[in-house]
Amino acid sequence: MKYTFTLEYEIDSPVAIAVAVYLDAEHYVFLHKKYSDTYEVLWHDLPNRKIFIRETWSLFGFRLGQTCMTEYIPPAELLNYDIKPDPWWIPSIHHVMKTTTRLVYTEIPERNSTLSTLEMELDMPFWLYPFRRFIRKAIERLKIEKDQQDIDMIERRARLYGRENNSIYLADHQFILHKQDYLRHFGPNSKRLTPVD
Amino acid sequence: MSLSPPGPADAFYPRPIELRDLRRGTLQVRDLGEGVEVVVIHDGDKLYVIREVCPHMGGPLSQATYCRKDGTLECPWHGYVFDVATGLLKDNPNERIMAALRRPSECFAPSHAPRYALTSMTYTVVGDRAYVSRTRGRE
Repeated sequence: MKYTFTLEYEIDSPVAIAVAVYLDAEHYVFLHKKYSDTYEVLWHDLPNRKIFIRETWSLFGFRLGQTCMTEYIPPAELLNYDIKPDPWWIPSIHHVMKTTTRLVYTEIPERNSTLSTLEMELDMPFWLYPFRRFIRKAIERLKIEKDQQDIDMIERRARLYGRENNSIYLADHQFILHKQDYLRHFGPNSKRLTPVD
Repeated sequence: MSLSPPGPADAFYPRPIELRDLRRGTLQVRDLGEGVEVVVIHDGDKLYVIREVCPHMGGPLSQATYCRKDGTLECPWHGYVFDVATGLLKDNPNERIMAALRRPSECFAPSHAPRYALTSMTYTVVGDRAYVSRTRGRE
């Protein structure tokens, strides 16, 4: 049985910054280490902007994890799907529930800020369906907590370097995922940092 | 002994660091006034006063992890590890974590990476106080 919901809120930063922070994979296991402290690329298809990853975390002394396909659709769409527990034998809701997420950042022109829209589709068995709102709340809480860490980073960088300054992400020595595609849409030296398409 | 800052008062930040309040071997944060915060590490006979901003992306070094054994600071945002004594970047663990994806290309040249270094602040100790100079030390 399918259950879909949307989580939407405004991020006080230009879309180019919001996308850059998402693609800045170097921060995943440090800033977000509370949620997962390892990140491993298992397979990738960079021309099609797909990266298959494994993330793990510690819970009560046990190491748990999941594998997931991530996909970037420029300029500002990010997908996660094929989420499976790893190792396969650990207890996980992903054994019985198929999760697909689509995150889209769109510009709010009047404030040069970002509307973050997360669409989630949960495909679950009938016996899990009564718990769908509980599952939704847990997912939303996790998303908001992680986003808040990113927002704190964005706000601090805005205070230090300026709200629209994405020069570090454009610098040729700085690694971000799918950088060529990012540059095509958000840089360099784009004042408003709006997508060209 | 005078407890006034040496030289012109405006050469130093208004709030000195009280050395007696520092716990040895740990990272501590001090407000120097005028909105300036520094990371202070007092270990052995060494006193390090470091700007609270990571030279990589501006991360909050007040939340950094100090490894006393290695004498290093790890930034909480991207995990960059700096040698406290020299200030220099010692390790970027992402070079290993992201190794499969870090392929040099026309828009990514890892060999061009700047020599990131912590900004150490110069100070003068008078009695039990360290007065931090407005003139930055090593960058």
